[in-house]
Amino acid sequence: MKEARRSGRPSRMAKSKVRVKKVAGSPRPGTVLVVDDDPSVLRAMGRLISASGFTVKMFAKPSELMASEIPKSNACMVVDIDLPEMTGIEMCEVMKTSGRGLPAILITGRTDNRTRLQAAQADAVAVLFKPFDRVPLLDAIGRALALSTRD
Amino acid sequence: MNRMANRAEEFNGTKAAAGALAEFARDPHVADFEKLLSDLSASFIRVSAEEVDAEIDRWLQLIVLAMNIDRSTVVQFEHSERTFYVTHQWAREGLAAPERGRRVDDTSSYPWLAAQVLSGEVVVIPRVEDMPAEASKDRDSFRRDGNKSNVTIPLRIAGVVVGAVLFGTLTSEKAWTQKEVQRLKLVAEIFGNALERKRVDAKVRRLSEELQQVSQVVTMGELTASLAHELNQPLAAIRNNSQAALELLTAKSPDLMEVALALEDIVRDNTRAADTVRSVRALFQRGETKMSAVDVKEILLDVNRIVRPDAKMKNISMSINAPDSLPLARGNKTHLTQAVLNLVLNAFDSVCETHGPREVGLLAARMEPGNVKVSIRDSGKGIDSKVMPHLFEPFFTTKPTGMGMGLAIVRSIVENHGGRLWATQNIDRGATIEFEVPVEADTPRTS
Repeated sequence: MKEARRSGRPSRMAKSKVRVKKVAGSPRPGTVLVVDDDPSVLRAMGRLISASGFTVKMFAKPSELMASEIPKSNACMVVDIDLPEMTGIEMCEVMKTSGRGLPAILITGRTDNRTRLQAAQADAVAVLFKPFDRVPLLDAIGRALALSTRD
Repeated sequence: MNRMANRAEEFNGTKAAAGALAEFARDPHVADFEKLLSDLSASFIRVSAEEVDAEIDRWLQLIVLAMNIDRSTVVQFEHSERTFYVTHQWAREGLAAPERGRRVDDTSSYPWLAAQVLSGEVVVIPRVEDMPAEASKDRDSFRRDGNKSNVTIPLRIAGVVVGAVLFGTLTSEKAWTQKEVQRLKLVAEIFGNALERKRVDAKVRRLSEELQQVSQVVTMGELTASLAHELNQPLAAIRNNSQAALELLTAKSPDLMEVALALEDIVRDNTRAADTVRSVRALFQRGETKMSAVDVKEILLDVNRIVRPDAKMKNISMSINAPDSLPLARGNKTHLTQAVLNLVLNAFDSVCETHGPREVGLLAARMEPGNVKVSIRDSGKGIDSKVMPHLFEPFFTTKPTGMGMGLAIVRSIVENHGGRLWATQNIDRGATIEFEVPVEADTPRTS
């Protein structure tokens, strides 16, 4: 995980609906699309992933993400399960059927059995339960990007 | 005649008692004592459990004056300590009376009398000086306490001797007639019944309190997942922001502005988590029964915070409508929060049983005269007209897994606040359950 500590210098957050953080200097290849309807959790993940050297795009709900330009390769998603409009799991399936699927990491603040079961059955690189650590998150992003590149 | 005037002067009890005494003063006859007894009996049927003690005090006074004796006392036995305590007493002015709550040790002061009373015997002592030899200790105690003669009657609650009622003279000896003793036994019986009612009332109160605790635990169980989510969100953000800040600081020229923004977010999320914990604590405070000025709007916001994740998972849209000018209510915050929460969870169950829109609205408004009304309106299946009359009854439920306690507890909480609770069928769809509690007296009136 050493290489993940490469410095990143994200600019201050843009005010637009879709917020993009460009990494200055030597950008680490890879774009991470993050969707979470909790603004604070979204900002924090954007900051962390960006500071770890990735390009980050942030979205508050599925329709925003799906309306955006989805990278064809070298990209992955970090998706909250508990979203408005549809669940994160459903969003991944919709994207997959429309041929715009990306390797996804599911995250959730729920710990109940139903959510655990749903997540386990979903087609995800990893399922992370909030509050999760930086290490498993970056580890999962690394694996997801590897899958994306191979495709 | 002077003595009669004294009686009226010394007496300051209820109107009913005063009437009885006035009648007795006019014609101090045996028949009037019968009248007094029937008034006594009637009066104890009327008083509430909380008034029993004061009523016994009043009647002790009245009986002393009516019988022309000097002092009357109720003592109760504390089994664990093998001791009598004075619980009620009255004595003529200027005469010694045992202080209420005074401990009367049965083994050292009145061993013989205590043994007699506990075995259910009525003890009549016309002359303290003539007491039997085996009662020498009791005689000394009577002398010390200034008694010249005495009648001691066992006090029974539910058939068990729990203490005694004592009637005594201090200024002169008295020959107690059989009839007088009979009547005093009746008095002790009425006192015993009243004290039993008080004891049952206290027990019911304690049980209902315990039931409420149990229901809180059940509610807690239902809400655990929701609360875990509500805390995991800020905790996740705090951890990610902290680690992002650490990461940012390792850069050659760190973006300190971004670090500052991360720290600001951490502080905000910390407050958010603390607010959730505070809301939950307000809901599950144990044994807190005191009434104070309560902000009803804050209660609605607390409940909303607690159920928000649950609402989200069930696709229920919630709205809160409470004016800023809402006066403070007089109540217990924990209990009122519990009541609102129960009603909201009930509304959740109702809207989830329909296929239409799932909406739950919380409203608070000032009602004249001097009430705050809380309404929980849902778009659910409504309340069947057959169900309506039983809605707030304990153990009544239409849910397969329900205990039928939720709404019954809400009713008991609202009634403890001196308020009222009712349900109505909405014109369009669903039902509205509403309750009113009084406003805090000190709240300035808005006109």
